[in-house]
Amino acid sequence: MTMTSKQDIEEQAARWAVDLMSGDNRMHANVDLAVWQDEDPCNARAYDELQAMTNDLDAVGEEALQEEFERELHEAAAERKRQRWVAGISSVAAGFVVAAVMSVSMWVSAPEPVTYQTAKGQRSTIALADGSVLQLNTDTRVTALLEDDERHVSIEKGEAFFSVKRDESRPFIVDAGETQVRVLGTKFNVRLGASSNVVSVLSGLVSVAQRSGDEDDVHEVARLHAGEQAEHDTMRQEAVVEGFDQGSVMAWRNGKALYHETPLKDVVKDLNRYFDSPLEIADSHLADLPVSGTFNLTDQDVVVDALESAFSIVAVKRLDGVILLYARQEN
Amino acid sequence: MLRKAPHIKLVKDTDEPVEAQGGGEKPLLEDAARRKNIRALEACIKANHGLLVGWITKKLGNTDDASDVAQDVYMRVYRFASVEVIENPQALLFKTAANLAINELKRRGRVLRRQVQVDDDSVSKTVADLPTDAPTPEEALGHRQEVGEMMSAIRALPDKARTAFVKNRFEDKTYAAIAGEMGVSESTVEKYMMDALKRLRTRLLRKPGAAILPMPRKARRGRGGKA
Repeated sequence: MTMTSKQDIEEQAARWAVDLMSGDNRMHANVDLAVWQDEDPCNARAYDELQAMTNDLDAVGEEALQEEFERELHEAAAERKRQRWVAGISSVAAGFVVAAVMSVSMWVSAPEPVTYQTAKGQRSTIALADGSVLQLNTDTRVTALLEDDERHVSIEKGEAFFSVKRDESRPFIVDAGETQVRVLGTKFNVRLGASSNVVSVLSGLVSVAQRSGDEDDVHEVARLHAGEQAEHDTMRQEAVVEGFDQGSVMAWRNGKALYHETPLKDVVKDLNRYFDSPLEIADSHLADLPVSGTFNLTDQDVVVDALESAFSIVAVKRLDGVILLYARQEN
Repeated sequence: MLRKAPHIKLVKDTDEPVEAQGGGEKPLLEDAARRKNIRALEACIKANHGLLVGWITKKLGNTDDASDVAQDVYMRVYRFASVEVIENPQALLFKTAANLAINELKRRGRVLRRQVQVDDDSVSKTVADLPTDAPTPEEALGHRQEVGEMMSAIRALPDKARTAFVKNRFEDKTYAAIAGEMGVSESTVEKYMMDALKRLRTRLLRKPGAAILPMPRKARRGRGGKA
């Protein structure tokens, strides 16, 4: 009996077994194995027990292989999901109508995300490959990615109207900051704001969720039917659901802005999204002046003229381009 | 997944319609549920077709037969539409694809080459029941293992060790091939194999309470290493 410990012998036996299972016909191995086995009956027994065990395991070979193959398929499906944002987002000049191209999916599919952008005062209509239509409002940037199992649009800034083609095999997901909207097929508007985002639904059923940090932490904060709107406060992580005036919210799609008793400060904030020369309220008591009416958004001068005549405002353009709004002095 | 999976056999090479087995007549699904099944399957197939064909191609080693096998998979899953409510179409699709891929590879002699040929309807519970004509010296030691224990032991292996072991022993792949697939060196594959063997040995041959017959007295060596 050699003084080799049982553990050493077992370790050696395992080494031999691994060596012989390589499948590449290590010719010398069988001879060397026999020599080692002959050295000590303990060696032979340790090896035999491993061989018996692996032989016995053959009985579950098919079941084990079945599970392994299933695992491979599920992992491939998960990998396809993870490959959502492939590096290298291509940017597209604003104003062009471009259709996102779906690549043929292979072992691992990697469709490319496409970015669309509008300048200030510009609007743009985009048709996606799945038949959905996006309409971008002023100063907006979105990125779209259509995959086998999911359609994904991210609004990085601005406002967009979605006309989503129904596809039950692929939910349509819109991410606007920490707001996430999920639909199958419907028409709705999403506006990204400083501390809250607003989702307004024209038709269909829309799920609005809070998305925190990484993608997997998503929970629903509101479920909207046609005619309902949610203002999602992402700080407080809650959404207020109310009805909305379709005319006002969607007016931008026709190049107009509609206000109803809206405080001037909010009107100014909204209008500034469309024009390069910012409006600023110089007389502080003008801030809460209620403004009602329809404004044509094509030309800033026209908008300013309308403000002046309808609401007793005087507009003065400063040298740096800022347009100051004063209350008209009635003499 | 099908709600009553144990009664439905996935492994059927004949063209018999899949039916629930045992007991009396089972009614087929009503029209509405059947149509719902079919819509779910259609969507799932549409979403996964590319992935499936790619995977099957990898397994078979060529693209020619991959579409045919994929079509067989789809035909097979559609048969379930009339039988049970399909709660997880993707799981059913993948399970069927795995099953048909194995059948095809077995037919071509590419996997499970050492396996004893077992009749579909009489899966034995223990190795001892299997008719075997391979007289190994190990048999004399009288090892007997429960099938369930062995599957649990394999499932309990760490991912990489399990993958290497299953690919080597059952998919009949060489270390070189496994290294290529896993994107590692051959020596790393050998490490995974060592890990797998040692853990399996501990669990199946050493653990107290394992459903293993102890080795015959004369062959046993105590922990103290008595000569």
